[in-house]
Amino acid sequence: MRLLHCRVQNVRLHGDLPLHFDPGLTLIGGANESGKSTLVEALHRTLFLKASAAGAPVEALRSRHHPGHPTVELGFEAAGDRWTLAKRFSGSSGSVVLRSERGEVLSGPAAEERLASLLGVGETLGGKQVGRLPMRWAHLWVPQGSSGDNLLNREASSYDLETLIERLEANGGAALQSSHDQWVANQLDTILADTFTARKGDVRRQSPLGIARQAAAQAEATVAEAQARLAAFETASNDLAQLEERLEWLRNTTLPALEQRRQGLRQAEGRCQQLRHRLALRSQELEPLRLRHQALQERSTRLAEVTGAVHQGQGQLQAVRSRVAETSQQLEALAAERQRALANRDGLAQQRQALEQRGQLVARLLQGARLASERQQLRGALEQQRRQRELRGALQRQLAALPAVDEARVRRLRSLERAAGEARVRLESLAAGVELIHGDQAVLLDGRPLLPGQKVRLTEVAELQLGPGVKVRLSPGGGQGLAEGQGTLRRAEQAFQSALAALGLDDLEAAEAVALQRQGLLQRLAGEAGGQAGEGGELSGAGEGAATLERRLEAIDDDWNGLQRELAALAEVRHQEEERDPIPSDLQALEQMHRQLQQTYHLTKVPFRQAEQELEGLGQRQEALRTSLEAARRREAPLETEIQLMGRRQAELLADQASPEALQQLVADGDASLRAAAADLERLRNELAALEAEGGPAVLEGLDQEIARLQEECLTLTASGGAAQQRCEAIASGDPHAALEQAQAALETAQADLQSLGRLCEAQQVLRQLFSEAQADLSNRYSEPLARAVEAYLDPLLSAGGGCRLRCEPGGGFSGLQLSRGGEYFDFAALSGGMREQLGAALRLAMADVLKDAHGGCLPLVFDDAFTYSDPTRVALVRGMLQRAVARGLQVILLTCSPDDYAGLEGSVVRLDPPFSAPA
Amino acid sequence: MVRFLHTADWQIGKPYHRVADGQKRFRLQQERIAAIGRIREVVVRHGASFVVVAGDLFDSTTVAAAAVVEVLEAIGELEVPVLVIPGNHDHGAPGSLWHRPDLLRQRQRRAPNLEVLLERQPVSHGGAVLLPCPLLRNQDSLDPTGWISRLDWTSLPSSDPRIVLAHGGIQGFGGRDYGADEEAQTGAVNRIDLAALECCPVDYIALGDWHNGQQVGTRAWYCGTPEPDRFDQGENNQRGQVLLVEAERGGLPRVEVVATGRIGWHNLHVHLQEDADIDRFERLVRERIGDRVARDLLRLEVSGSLSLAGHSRWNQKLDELRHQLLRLRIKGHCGQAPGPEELAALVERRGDPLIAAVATQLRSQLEQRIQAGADGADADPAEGERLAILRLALCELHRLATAAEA
Repeated sequence: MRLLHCRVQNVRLHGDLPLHFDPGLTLIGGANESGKSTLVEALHRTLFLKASAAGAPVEALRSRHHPGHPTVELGFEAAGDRWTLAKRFSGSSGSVVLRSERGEVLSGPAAEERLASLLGVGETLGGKQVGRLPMRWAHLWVPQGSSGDNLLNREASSYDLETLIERLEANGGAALQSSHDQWVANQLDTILADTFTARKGDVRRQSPLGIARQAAAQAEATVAEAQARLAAFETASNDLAQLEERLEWLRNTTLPALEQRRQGLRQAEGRCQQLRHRLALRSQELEPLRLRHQALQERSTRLAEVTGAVHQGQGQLQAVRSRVAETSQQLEALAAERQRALANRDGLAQQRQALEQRGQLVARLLQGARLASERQQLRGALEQQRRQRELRGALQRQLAALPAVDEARVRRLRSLERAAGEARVRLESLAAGVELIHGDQAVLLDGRPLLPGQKVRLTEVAELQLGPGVKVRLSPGGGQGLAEGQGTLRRAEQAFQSALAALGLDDLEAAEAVALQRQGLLQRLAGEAGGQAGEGGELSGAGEGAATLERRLEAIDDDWNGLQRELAALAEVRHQEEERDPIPSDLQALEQMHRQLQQTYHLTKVPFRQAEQELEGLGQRQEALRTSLEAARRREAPLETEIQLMGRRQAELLADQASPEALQQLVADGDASLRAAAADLERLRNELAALEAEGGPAVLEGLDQEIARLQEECLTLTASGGAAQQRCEAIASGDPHAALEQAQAALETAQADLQSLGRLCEAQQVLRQLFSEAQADLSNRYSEPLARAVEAYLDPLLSAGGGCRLRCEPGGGFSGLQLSRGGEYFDFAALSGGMREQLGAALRLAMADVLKDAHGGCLPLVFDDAFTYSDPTRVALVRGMLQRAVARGLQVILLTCSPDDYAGLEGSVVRLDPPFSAPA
Repeated sequence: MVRFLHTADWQIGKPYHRVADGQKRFRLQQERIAAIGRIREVVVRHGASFVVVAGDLFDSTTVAAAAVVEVLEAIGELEVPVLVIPGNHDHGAPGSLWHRPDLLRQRQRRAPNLEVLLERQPVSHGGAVLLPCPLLRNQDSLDPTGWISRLDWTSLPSSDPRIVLAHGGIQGFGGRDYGADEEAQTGAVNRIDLAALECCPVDYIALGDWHNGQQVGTRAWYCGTPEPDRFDQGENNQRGQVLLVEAERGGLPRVEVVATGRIGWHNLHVHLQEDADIDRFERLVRERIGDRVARDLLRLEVSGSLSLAGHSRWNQKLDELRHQLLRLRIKGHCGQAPGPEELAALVERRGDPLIAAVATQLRSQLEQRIQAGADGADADPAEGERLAILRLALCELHRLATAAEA
């Protein structure tokens, strides 16, 4: 189908607008409100709205400026013919005429029907179907402002899905699911919907699977119930067995044993009475016997106590007396001992005194000897100092007599002599030699003849005369140098000689000899000074001056005199001592004797102190013994009195008895007879206690109660046994074993059924899943070619690996349009406005491409301001897309307010200028 | 010398509730009582002095009164003394069936020759000394024969043969290997110390509890049940019999096996892969059961899978067997999956691309799993189940596709 031309009259601002459409691309440019959209809308309604339609869609076409009904004439190619369609929209009176080039003329409903058939739509729409109007050719007709909408969000009929699928199948060879396929899929859906809920997929209670599940659960419950019943039977049976066992034991074992015991206890009670009576009797007999025995026992005890006290008193007295005697002896011995100790101490004291006296004498003598020795040393030191002073005086005088030539001066003289020598050598080197080898004439040198063979050495200017006529002046060293050398030598010799003269010496050797002599004298002087210091070292105060030494000597003399006076006082003592033991006079012997005396005196100190301590100890002991003796003597008298008192008490206690032994025997006899009686009593008591412990009224009573309780229990057990028996019989009558087996058999069947049904349902679910997958797989066969066609239009825009995809749901149409950007797929809605326009246009062109074969190889696409969001770069792409569409046989009508953007496109260009008056 | 019959495990009153058909169930129950009539024939034919029943005369302690009456009637007809001890199934605890008033009453009236030995003490009977070891409760960890070793043997008649009557497993014996899937074994309870028993001066040990007859000692025998009551899984299937015993004091017993069973209990295993396997199975059944009707039970272990047509035929065969047999018990499952032709018809449906695609997908999944060994005997059960579901899905697809055409 291809649009050829149109004429729009009385449609809003268009009074009469004729247009021709290019077979390929028609660009209709015009400013805002130039009637572009009106034109697009008018053409769309002419094609799809019945001429007789009334209401809003028709009213919207009416012009306020141009009288008359909206009228549109449209020429187009379709179904291999050229058609002219003329419609006047005037409500119910509206008219339509459809003419073909081949002469077919139709009008009214027939024309509308034919038109619908040519356009491939079911019918043209009436005024009441206006809601469906935008769905007509929505894929081809892009009204202003809808280019960014997703076409696939619309109903599938908007883009002629049926024809699209048909064409895709024709192109790709794929076939849609068959009616059988559909039936089977539906059957599966029905079966599964009957079994499972749609929302959560739970099993429906009323479905066969649900019923089977309930039956299995019920069967399980029945089994549990049967098991419980059997267990109840077993329990009742066990209870019964235990009851009977207990009952039998009580009746046959426990109760007879208790009864027998009760009988025994009753017999024992009689015997107890007898025993108690005998016990009372024997107790009465025993009492007076016991009292008598007790008195006798007390007397015996008292006697023993008194006798013991007498013995003790006598012993004590004896002890006191012997202590008195002993102490007296000890005192005597102690007195003798003290005497001896006293003598000892006195002897020691005398000895110490004598030692002390001799020691003092020796100490004075020793001091005297030391003073004498010191005085002698001091005098020697003074003498030595005097001799040294004389020697140093002689040496210093010798030194003063020599010229003052020291080492430095000698070095200076040597240096001067060397300078003179060096000046002389230099002068020698400047000298020239003259030798007369042969002469036939007189040769005179400085007036002195020079003989043949004579050699003369010239050191100063000389005149050589050869014969009379020849006079030659010889100047060795160039003349000048020789004079300088001579001057230098002279100065050097003068300096040396004057230095010698200053010292009063003749030559260098004399100077060196004097220097050596001076050095010797100086060393000896230094030696004397050192020697004086060395010799004086041994003597205390040796370095001191002579005056100091003199003072010390005087002090020693004073001490000496004092000591001599002291010795004179001790002269008598000394005499005695000398007589007894001679005293040496030399210092060493005195020192040794003094040390020995000190040691001896020291040694006597310890024995002396021991003797004093011993004496003191003996005094104390003597005192203690005296005190002890006094105390013992004081105790004697009271003890004697007490013993007499006790003797009298003893006699009183014995009274009629001969001796204490006789009294004791009496007590022992009484003891034996009392013990025998007590033993008899004890035996009776034990017998009674044994009987009472075994029985007694309390035990007997307890036994009666126990027997009664057990008899009661027997009754209760019998009753319980009866109940348990009934319970057993009641349960057994239903044969619980058989019931359990029946329930188990039923459970097995129910479980088998459930398993079988469950498996079937699972198989059906597997089938449904596979059907869904197969359907999805099938749908790809449609969506894939379409996606590739879209990609072909978008090709310059898509980077490598980019692409687009969409789905085809059987019965639901296409959906899920996505574009891949940078390896990731984006939903249509997520794309930018410009990209949405371009992808939308590509999809429409791709669809038209597929559909065109059903419309004679061409379909018109109308874009009304469809690329407003596209930037200039993208507009170039859009141009390419549109050119490709035209090249593939499609017709494109592009309405835009900026036609310059599309300059260079092949096709017709039309400009609409408001207010419109004439065709361009 | 004393001649008597040794029997046990009559299991009277067994409900057979796993047999769904009431008539057949009744028939099985009746056959157990009818076996007593066949025992009577043996008694008469061989002139036995008495019959000993070594436990489990009844199947439970709660057997229905009608069964009690019937069995007492049959025992009464035996005429010779019938000496019974309670076993683990019909133990002698108070409140159990041996103490039930109806039994006591009916026994007096219908079976005065029946003597229930509820006490563990020697009983002289017909020239023999019986040493009964009744089980007095369901589970007892004590050896019920323990009292015999403490017996004062001098108090017994010196010339009469001594017959131990006991019920339970024996120590050192492998135990019962039948019916392991049908009831829990009693385990270590009621265990009899046979070695200790054989050291005692006894002449015959009559044992019950193990349903297969077997000599377990020089003087000790399990007699086997007179009428089998369950599918046997063991090799040594000595059932449906009683023992005719001649015993004397100090001598070895002479034992003769006499058949009494009537109902056949069979076990078969079949693996189905192709239709020919059904033919093979038919031949096998004919060999074992022949054309007998209502006298056999068959436990059939099935595995494998058949085509849809084959499966239909298999089901038909099973239905026939159900009619012929008292019970057909099937263990396992015969899968079904479209055969090659059936499958081809699904996969190659050009007009129905979805059905063809789904069938192709199922076929490939099945092949993958079979290749991975999901069909093998040692495969993971979950994998086996998945395989079964896939096959079933294919069958269901076949069913729906066929229905869609109709």
